Amino acid sequence: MAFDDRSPIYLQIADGIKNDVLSGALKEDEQVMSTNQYAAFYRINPATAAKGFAQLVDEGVLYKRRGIGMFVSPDAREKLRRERRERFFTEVVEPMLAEAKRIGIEVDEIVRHLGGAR
Amino acid sequence: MIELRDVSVRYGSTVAVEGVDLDLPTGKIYGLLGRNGSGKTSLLSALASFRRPSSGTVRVDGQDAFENPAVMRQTCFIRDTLDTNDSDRVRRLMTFAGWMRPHWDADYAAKLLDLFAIDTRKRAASLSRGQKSAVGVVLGLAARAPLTILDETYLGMDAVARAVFYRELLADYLAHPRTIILSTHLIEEVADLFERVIVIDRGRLLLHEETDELRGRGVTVTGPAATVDTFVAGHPVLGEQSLGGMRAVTLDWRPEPAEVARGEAAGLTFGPVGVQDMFIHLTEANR
Amino acid sequence: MSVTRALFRLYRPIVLPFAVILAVADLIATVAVAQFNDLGFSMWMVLGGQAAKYWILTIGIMLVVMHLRQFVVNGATRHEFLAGTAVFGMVLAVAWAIAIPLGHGIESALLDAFGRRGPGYPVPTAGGALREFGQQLPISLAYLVSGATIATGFYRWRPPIGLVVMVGGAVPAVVADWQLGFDEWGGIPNNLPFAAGLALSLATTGLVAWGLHRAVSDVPIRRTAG
Repeated sequence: MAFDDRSPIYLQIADGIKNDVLSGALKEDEQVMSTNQYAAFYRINPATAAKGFAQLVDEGVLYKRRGIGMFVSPDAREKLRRERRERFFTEVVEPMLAEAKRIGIEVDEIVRHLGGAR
Repeated sequence: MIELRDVSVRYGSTVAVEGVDLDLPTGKIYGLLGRNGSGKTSLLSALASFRRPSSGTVRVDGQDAFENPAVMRQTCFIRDTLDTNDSDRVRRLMTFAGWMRPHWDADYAAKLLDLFAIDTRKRAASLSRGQKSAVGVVLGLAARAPLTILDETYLGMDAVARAVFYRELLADYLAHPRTIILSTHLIEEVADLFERVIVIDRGRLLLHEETDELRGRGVTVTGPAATVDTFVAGHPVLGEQSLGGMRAVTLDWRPEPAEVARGEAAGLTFGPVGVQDMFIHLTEANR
Repeated sequence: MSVTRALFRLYRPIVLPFAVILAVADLIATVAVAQFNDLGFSMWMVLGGQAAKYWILTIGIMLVVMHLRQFVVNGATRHEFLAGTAVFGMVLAVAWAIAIPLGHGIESALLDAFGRRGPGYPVPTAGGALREFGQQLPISLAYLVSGATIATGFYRWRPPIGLVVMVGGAVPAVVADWQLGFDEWGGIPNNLPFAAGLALSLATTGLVAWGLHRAVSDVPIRRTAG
């Protein structure tokens, strides 16, 4: 994963781990890399990595076991799915419709296309 | 905590650094950014007690730094010129550092010298620019000084060697946390290592913030000139470019997602401003 | 490691070879002269005396030009450096102050053994040896301080000021030579009583040393040429 300038690195880190949880690459109750390991692996400052992890702990995606490390929360996947679901329409569908309108694609065309994907 | 209070450095009538106030919590990796002639090296010289500030004070953990044995013993300042005698062999530089530096790790130094393929029998004067940089890096890292300052030391190294350096720096910082200040103008490739960024321009402190804050600070808005102008009205402009009817304006401002949506609907595109671009714009705006 | 100890370690490999070279040079010169005449003067007082002065002058220069930066860059304070070099310099000065009468004694014994000791030769006495020590020690200290001060003038300031400092910095060496310098018979070829000459020499050396201390105490460590 390369980081870019689009958003603060720590948010990109959080998003990256969330994606891993959603895809199943990281399983629930699985231990994640320590912030130091993460920093060394992606060649970033450990404080930035720690901030990203702290964000995830705040959001309930990760939890900390003292003296052992950070783990994926047992209900993280479900939680994230629900969140993404809620945002799917505002963040993905609405912009798609706006773009479609901008370039002159009718909603019917989209429905036909979607029908093919079913 | 490292505290600089109203530090100025003057050479005769030339003012290199003026009224710098900085509080640097220890244990972090700082990036010091500034153009050539911005006063970076003078500031670092004052910080490392290589030079007494013309005015102001430098304090480390509450103690005045200049000529303070406890502070100077724990500070390692490596400059690009290496500060050695031409006739000294690399081996001798390492030995001497071992005599004087309380936390010197000879094995680590040897490992790094090997990594950078340095022949320790070579004299300082006969080192190539890249080798000199590598030796500077070795001296800086192996000293394990609680305050380690590298002043553009590694800029003489090629891209591959630099990548090795960044990797080793991070690994050693993780294993032996300490305060590290890297002065550089190769910003993009190393910005991710910095927890905080300090920008010096024309002798004055321009900013001191977390790298991520600097990264998230600005936006470039591109689109038809009139639309852009309407959208950016009232926000601080750092720079702009026009070509034909198109205009790209860089702002010291971050729009909310709703404003972004509105702008995109009007035909504008939004782009991030990287640390290096932010640095360029802020220093140009300072003119 | 202390500055003094580090300096001794740095100079350890230099001192012995130098001493050997000097002894050999003195031997060759003595033998060469002895081919023609029995020695009516002390070759060692001449050669050793000159060597003592100029070697320690060079040390004084190198301490400022090479070692000051080396030590401060590696974490020593300027004061620690000054203190360390003072001890180092004093040891060297005492070493030379012993070497001169010692060498004189050895030379005298050897010349006598080979029957080459001429009538004018200054045969060493206990009192004379003590006085030679008392001459060489302040001379060495003076030349050390002069060397370091001259070098500091050019290290810290631009050449015009460096030249002025150089003139002032040379004073200890000049006064020491004038008042305490010995000729080839080990005598002092002028009229001021020894005690007065000694006092004058130590006073000028001390004064310039104080100035040196002030100049180095907060001297900026500039970058070397790229």
